[in-house]
Amino acid sequence: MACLIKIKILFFISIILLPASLSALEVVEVKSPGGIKAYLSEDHSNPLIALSIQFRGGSSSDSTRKIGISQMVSGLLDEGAGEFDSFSFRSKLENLSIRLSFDSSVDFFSGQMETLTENAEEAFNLLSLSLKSPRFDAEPIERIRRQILVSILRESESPNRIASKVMFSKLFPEHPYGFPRNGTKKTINNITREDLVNFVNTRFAKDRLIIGVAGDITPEELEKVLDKTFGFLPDTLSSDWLKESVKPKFFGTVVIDKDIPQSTLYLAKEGISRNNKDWYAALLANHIFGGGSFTSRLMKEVRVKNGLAYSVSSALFPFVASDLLVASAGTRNTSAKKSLEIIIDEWSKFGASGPTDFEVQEAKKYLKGSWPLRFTSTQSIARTLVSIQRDNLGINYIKLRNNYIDSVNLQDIRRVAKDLYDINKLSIVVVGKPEGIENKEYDG
Amino acid sequence: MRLNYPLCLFTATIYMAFLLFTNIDAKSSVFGAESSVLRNGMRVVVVSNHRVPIASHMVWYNVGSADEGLGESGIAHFLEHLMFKGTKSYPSGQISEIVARNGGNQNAFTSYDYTAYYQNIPVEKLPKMMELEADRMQNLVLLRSDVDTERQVVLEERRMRVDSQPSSILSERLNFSLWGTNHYSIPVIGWREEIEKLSYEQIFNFYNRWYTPSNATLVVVGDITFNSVVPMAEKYYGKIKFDKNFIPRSRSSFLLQSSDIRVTMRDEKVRQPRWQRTYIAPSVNIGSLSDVYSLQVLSEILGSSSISRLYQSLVVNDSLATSIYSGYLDAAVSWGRFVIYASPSPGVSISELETKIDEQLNLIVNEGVTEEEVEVSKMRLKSEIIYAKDSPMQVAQTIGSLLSVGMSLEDIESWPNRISEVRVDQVNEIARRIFTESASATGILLPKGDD
Repeated sequence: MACLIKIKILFFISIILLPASLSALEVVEVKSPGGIKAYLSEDHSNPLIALSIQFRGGSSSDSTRKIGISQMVSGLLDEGAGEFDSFSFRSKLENLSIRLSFDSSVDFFSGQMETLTENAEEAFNLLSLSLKSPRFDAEPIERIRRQILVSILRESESPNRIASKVMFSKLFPEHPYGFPRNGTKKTINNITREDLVNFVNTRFAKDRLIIGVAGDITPEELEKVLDKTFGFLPDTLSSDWLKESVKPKFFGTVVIDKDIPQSTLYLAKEGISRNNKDWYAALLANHIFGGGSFTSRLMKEVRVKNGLAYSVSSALFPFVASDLLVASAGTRNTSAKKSLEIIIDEWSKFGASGPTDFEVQEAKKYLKGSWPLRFTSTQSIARTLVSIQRDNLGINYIKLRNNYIDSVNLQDIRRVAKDLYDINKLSIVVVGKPEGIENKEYDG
Repeated sequence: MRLNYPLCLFTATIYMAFLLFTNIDAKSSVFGAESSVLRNGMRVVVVSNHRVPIASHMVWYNVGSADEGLGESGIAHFLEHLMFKGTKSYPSGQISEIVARNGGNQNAFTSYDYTAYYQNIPVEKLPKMMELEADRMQNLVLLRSDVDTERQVVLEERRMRVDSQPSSILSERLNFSLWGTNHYSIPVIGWREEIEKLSYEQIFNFYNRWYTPSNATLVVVGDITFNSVVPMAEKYYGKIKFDKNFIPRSRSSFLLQSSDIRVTMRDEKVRQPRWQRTYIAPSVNIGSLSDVYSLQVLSEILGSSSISRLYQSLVVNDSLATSIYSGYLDAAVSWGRFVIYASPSPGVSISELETKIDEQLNLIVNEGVTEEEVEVSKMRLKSEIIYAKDSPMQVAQTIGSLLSVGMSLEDIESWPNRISEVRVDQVNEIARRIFTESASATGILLPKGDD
């Protein structure tokens, strides 16, 4: 270990670092001969390639009797495909250190793959096989079914999962958003092998596919691999994945009795669409209200000043067919009422007068400064490239994004906050034994 | 302000141990970390990663919950919360505001053996972060009212992480029985009754005793070089006075007579039964390092992947479990631990599950693992290094935690070579010792009314 001896000389060394920019992060659009497009951020500093994909259409496109099938398929695609049964497929992944997994959300079916450059060919081949010819052998089907059934049971143990499930079911009583994403014991047991095969044939197509790639691969190499990997997909499908848009329903206050020392509070109302011109104003508003983890108004009032909660925050959820603004907190049963009152009080104050100019300046500094932190792993870059395409933000988004934040002014934010933080349509779910909070469900 | 609850700590460390155990080129080091020591004894470690203009800035103190005095449980973690309150120069919550204004994400965590504070920041903000972190190493200002309010926050955290979750309560009971007089028997977050009583003076004494440069390690990973960081560290951290009275911690490795403990808990909130077992095992500080490497390979073969022995036999072939995995925690000042977790399939009794798990363990004890299993696992562990180096935060976390428990940078960097040397007879020998001689605790969580 080198020790520092020449201390005096060090004072002459400049320790000023130049301001950061993300100029090193170039994004190009790659289009294969077969017409498949992907965004690519090339980086050869580490021999690693990450790919992220999304198909439009998630659990909300599942048929009512088979809800959870998206989740089940996502668990089965990497459990055997083509000539490889589950064990040999998994062995290939494990022994070559290829990370391949699938997942589904309400709106999207997604996949992630990461591989060392030296195993890239095999990795893309396995990814392609898993989408093209998953085997759906009996053993993995029953195994994944059991795992989903057990995970449904485990969810019913978690206060947070209970609260969120109840919240969605009450906000969207008639819409697939209100159905349990992972299904129920009944719907999971309804799913047959035929359903799974049918899912793959009716949900994956080129015009629903979004691809982001990052790391140690050139545009020329990617072009070739895109056709090889995804070229077999149909161009389009007759079925429609998009659900009719829906407004969240106001349902008052619902208390779910559970014998635990802490109450979990959820507050929700309609949010704002990602493509709304006021999105950035809303983002700044929510950062100030409850999004900024250590500095938000909710954090200061509920936690720092009053010691009522460990976690308290709010977030915007722009779904495809609806939008939500949700705040949540965990607080001891004896002061659940007080916590709720403080949150509601902050909510209405924020709706009435919005943030101060100082708060807006501070929020802008944080959101702009922390932007590069989004790009610290190859996989996170690939993921971001998918969301940029999904939300139609343009290929220069990574560079332009901070200008969008800058262009918002105080008046915009106050105008947006007035509507977004309107207290009148706020619905509440509480799980626990909250003292002084009554069930007041509104079903008009 | 989170804490590495045993379970979280476990997962994090298992993952990084995986990652550390490998390399493509046997000669090169894993991270290429450079280090030096400031005159006041503070260690500085730097790793360059120039992909994006950011840096991960961490300060690790060689103190954790296992260094707390009798009746003072939770004090290390409580102090970690209070470190965000303020200093003379930056009072009343200004630290968080400054970090945010500079585009930084910050947090801290406490474990049995260390406490760490970090900011992930645009790289040009590094000097400001060093100024803040160096300032609160020596100038913490605590108001009595802050302590009382924050105590409620900590208790709320305990309610969320432990008191509302039967599986966490079971883990607390299990650790208490298994570790006995060893400090790992006490939960990192502390017992509620003791958190309620911790005084302002006790907390401040703890701070004065342990937060000093010669008990700390600075880790910076990101778009920087060793030569740019060292003068900066000298400027901000170097001016903190060396504490000549500081006495480093010493821990006993004493264990009570080895025994097999069993804890069964029934709770009406439980819908899905669970089974877990912890064996006391060697660590990077206790036993030989070759035991540590052999245990990593053993865990890989036994239950760290979907093609492992436990997963294939219990989950795939016999359908007795829906999930099962094993892991080995080597990063500890005192003893390490080898753990197995399992979740039975619907309708399968816990005893049936346990019988089958024991059968698999006995199979290894009696017949050993194969040469091929060892070689394939070593290869698999090997290529994980590329992933380990991918994110600056992950690199800082891995290096910081291992240095804090007393591993040398040299040992960390040479792990790939050492893992290549693991032989099948070493794996079989350590498996026999762990599964037949080590103290263990088995925990069973059941719904109310089940047997």
